Amino acid sequence: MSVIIKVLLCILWMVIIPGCIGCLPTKLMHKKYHTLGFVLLNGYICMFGIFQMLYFPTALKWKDSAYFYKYVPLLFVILGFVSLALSFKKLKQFFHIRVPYKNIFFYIVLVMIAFMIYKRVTLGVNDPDDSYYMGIAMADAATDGAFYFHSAFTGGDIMFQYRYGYMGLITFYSMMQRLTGISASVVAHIPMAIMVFLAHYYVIYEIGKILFDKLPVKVVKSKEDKEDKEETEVAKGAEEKKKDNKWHPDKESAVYLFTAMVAFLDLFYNVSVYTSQTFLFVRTWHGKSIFANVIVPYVLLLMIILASENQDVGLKKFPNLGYYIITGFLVFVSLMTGSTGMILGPLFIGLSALVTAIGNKKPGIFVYTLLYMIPAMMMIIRIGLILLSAKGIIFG
Amino acid sequence: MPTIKILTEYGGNCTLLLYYILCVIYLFVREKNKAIKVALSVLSIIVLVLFAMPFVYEILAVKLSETDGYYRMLWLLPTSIVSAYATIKIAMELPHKYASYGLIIIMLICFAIGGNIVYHSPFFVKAENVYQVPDAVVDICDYITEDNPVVVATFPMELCPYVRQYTANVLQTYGYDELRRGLSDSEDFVKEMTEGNPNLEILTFGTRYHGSQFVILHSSVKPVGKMEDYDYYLLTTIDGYNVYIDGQSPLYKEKYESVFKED
Repeated sequence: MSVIIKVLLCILWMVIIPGCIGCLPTKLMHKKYHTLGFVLLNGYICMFGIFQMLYFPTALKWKDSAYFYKYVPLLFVILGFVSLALSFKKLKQFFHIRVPYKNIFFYIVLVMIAFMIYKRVTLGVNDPDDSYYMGIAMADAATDGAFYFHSAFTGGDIMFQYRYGYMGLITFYSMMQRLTGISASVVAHIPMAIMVFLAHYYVIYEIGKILFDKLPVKVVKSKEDKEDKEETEVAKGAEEKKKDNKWHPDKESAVYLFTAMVAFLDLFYNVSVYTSQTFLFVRTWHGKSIFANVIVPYVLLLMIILASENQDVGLKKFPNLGYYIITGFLVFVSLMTGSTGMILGPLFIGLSALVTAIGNKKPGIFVYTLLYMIPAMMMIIRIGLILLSAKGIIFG
Repeated sequence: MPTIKILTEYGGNCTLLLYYILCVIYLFVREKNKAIKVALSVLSIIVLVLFAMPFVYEILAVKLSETDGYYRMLWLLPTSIVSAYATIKIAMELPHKYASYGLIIIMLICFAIGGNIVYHSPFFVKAENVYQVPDAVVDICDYITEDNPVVVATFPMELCPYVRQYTANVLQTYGYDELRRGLSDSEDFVKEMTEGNPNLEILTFGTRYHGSQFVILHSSVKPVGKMEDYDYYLLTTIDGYNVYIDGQSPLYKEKYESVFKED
């Protein structure tokens, strides 16, 4: 297979298919979140969630990877088509991209993320854990049969690895190798790492948009549609404020400055080998990094959204359905990222929902979050029992 | 208290962590938007309190045997987000815009001084190719797997982590335990692989016992004795590494014996 075909297949499976899957859940969110970034992010969350839902029973019962690798991609394609068809009318909104050409902070963010990606691609990692994960992924991809039955280093047959075996991220990399022809370790080290960076900073950017929501929007000359008119009106308030000597940044500048500052802090947060930021840069594609740098901020974002608004998105009886669906999937994705995510994911989602519900006097947030966590929690409890009995903590 | 020790180890010099805690307090006092205050400040405080609680430590760390990973609970703290947001918010409250610009610049300098840039991490190595493994691994693996579907090889410790990241067709004789836990419980031949002057009797006995068709040694390694005396023959030298084949392996008899006889 030529390199160009491999790259095109990689774009198909790592951008287009998740993008198609993400259309439907994004459609269920408020129209101000109808962006390409959310489409891709939600697509990955749903794709990973479904992957984990299917992977666990397969690894537990049938233990045969051949069928799994064959039918799961087919399911993703079907889901992508269905999701795209059901949200076809919204496509124009999704692709409505406005680039802030005149904002210096936008360019700073762009340069910083480009620099991080450049460093990520040009630096390797000397890390036994990485060798272990990639060794497993490569071995699984190369052999039909069972998951996690090959030693990462010797390649020999071993007992099923309980600690890692039920979490599907490594198997996802194996599947990508089969689908794209690109080695699982390259898939993880380059395209997946880029996706993690983009997802992390997109979530940060969206958090920034909510944090600085009250700031005036910069005056725009175009008055083509209603939204622009609103923006111009808001800007009048800004002019009045400018009479004092205080700093009054417009919303866009503040959001990009915030994103740039978070990126700067991330770069310098290597105060120990343990910080989530160190994991973001050193072990970008690992489940732990995805959990700490994408899932945790995304949960925070969802909780702020749920606490601050109750919007009509076409489902009048249940306006926040989209956010809860994503929250439910996030628990599956936490599980998929490994044992840390399996324990801390539901703990954090449940705790943040509880605190948000009490703090904002909206008990529904906690009730509905718990409701949507149930499917993933059932799987987590099942895996937890298996792991605890394997460790001898219970049943022996 | 073990949790305080974990917290200080996590925070390194603790400058950024301390600033984050100050920012959490600031947001708790000054933030007017309840949703933001709860998500960024109250939740952070609760996570920190839970982290410090002995019963949480007892359950998550001791009972679940995750003592080494207990620090991961601190990943639930949105440190960068809170610090950046609070800094901008404080800057916006200053009476003059130049004071705001000054504060932001000073804080960025403080972050740089108080922190440690991630690219100083000893985990990073220069990627020599798209696989992000040393070129030597690629070249040696390509050589030993040429026309051989699956081979068993013993690589030196420094190449060990990368071999199976490049190809699943090379099986190794050791790896994870030695890289993670050190050599104390390793087999003798593995210990010899890390020596500058390895004892070939021990080394070749171990590699042959594990069915290793190839042994790779750096050319700077000066073994005690000759590899040929133990039926291992030098095939080639690639990127400074000598590649030996086991003369007693079926692969040698099938493919390489005739080559050596011609020579």
